[in-house]
Amino acid sequence: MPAADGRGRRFFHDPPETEAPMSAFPNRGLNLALRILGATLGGYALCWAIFELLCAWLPFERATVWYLTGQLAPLPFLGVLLWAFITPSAARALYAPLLLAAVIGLPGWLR
Amino acid sequence: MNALGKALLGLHAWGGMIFGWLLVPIFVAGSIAVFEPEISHWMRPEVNSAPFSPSTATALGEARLREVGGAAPIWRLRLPNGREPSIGIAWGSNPRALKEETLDAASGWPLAPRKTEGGHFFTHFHAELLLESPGKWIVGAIGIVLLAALVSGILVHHRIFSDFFTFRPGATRRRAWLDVHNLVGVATLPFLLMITYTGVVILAEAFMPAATHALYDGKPRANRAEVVKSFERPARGEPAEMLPLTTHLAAAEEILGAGAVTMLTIRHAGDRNALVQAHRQVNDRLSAVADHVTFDAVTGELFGQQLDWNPMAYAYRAMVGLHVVRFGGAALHWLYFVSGLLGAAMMAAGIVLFLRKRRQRHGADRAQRVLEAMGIASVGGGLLACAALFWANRLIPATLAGREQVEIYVFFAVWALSLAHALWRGTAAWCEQFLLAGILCLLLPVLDLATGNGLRDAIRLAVDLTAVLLGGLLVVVALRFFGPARLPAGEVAP
Amino acid sequence: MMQFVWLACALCLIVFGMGALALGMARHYQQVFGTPAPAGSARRWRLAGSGALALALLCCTVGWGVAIGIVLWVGLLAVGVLVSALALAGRR
Repeated sequence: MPAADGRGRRFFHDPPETEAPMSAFPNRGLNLALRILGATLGGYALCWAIFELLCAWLPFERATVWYLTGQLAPLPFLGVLLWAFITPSAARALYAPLLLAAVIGLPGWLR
Repeated sequence: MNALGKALLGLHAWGGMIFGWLLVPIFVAGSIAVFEPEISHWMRPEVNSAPFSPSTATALGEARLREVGGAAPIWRLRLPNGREPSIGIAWGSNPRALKEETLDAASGWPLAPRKTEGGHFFTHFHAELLLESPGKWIVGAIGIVLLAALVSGILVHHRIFSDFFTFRPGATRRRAWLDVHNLVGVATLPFLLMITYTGVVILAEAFMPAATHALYDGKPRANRAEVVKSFERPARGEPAEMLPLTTHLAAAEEILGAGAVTMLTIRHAGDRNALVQAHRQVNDRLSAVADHVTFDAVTGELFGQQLDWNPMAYAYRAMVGLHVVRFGGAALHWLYFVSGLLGAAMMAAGIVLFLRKRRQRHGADRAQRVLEAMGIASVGGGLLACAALFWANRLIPATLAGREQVEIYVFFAVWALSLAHALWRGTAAWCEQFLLAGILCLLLPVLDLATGNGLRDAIRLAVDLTAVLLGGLLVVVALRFFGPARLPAGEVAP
Repeated sequence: MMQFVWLACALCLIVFGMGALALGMARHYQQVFGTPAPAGSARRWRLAGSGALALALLCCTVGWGVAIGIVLWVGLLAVGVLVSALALAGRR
């Protein structure tokens, strides 16, 4: 890959080359599987939890809330998918979104 | 590149390539689907493109409905327009399963166009891969991966601003392909982000029903029922004479605008409680909502109207509208068509790049051959299958029972054959499949002339001309980008 | 058809505008004119380019209304970028 020019964004490109921290799952297949699982299950759970929260807490009429959540649907999935592959630990890719979903979803679900 | 950049690039490259196998056909089908009405018209050469007027069409449609509709509780009359120059009538009791008939717009004669999915095949394939509910989940997931690929692509693009206009066709093949991938991707970035986001929004209703469960106890389409006002009443049981539909059409046009009515729905025709509902066009606004007005069929007085919408629902339907592009006329349709094909080309270039890079690293091992074949089948095969559908539509006899299924079988058979061909021929298949697809497109006007029932009209001519242009482009791409020409020493085609 | 006129104007303005923005980059200026860009020329080219793009937006909104006009304009920008890039590539 050619080096970044002077104005290039340093965040992603500049050396020093840091090795990815040794993952707890050196088996690449398992690493990948965990991340994919995290992206799918975690993304779905988080989106569901956010929707439940919004539906329970937003003070608007039903149809308004429904059509609002609909417009936001891609965002939790996108966020979790990116997170699942950039987080250094594959285990975190799986448990973090599920944990977040549980934390968010609980108040909404209890109501 | 640091670990974060590497991770993003890995997600972008692998996610992009593997999901690209389906994304390229989805984008190609979606671009073609912009012209669904025109293609359906091309695929039904029995339908004449006669000059029409809304009031005459209404009268003719009503006459035919009285003949065949009988006592059906629902009658429907779709008025002809510039993109669908025929009258469509339907009748029955289940609004989702009505018997339909097409009438000539000038004479009112019932036509018997050949059974075909028409342009709707491309829409159906694009949205659901023909699979209904599981297809929505799959395409939704694919869309989310594309969003991630776009975001990660932006983040790892080394020089997104300084390379904004950069294209070096004379540099190494790999540099040139990367330039194409980056240039086309950045140029169409707003379109790609918008079309993918809105597409996922549309499908999310099916695969993410959390809000439906939380707000409406899981009842599907309950949200729609709350937002779209319904003006209905049961039949009284007393027969009564309706006013002519043309009267109702005129009254509707007073409220909705002259020439703006697209459809009339008649409920309980012949009963004292009959109602006539007129729907407005959606092609002059961003939001895909159709204002509507309902009249008492016997007296003509206003029974109900909806010209205002829940603002949040309006915004949501604006997202839908942005995706399906019913608005803006020819300019917007062609813009979306070209942008969609450019998006497909960008992804195809990405697939080519991935394959080249992997080949240089791993040589032509077994996995490489399989990956190459999948890439070729996805891009070249997808194009071939779409072109083959047009040929199948005209070559399969019009009276064959179940011919609409046969057309679809041909589509998938050609696609499967292209995969087999790619596995057999390796990288040479790029050129061969693009060349064949290009030739099929170039010869489309000849096919139309030979099988078109002599009913050449502007819409079919436009389809033919577009096919010729695309065919020429495919042939040029086949010979210049994938052809066996001018390879610097050590370079691998493509 | 007035819309066709507005479209033609918008397209010309966008192609010119994107080309001007490209010429506001030192690398592309040198590519086209052979000599390094004089001082201040980048700013002038970028101003001209942005002005043309803004005028194009006006054409689109006049011809299609605000909402649809903006969508059309954003879509046409892609055409401008690609035409400019291809024109520059031809000069290598």
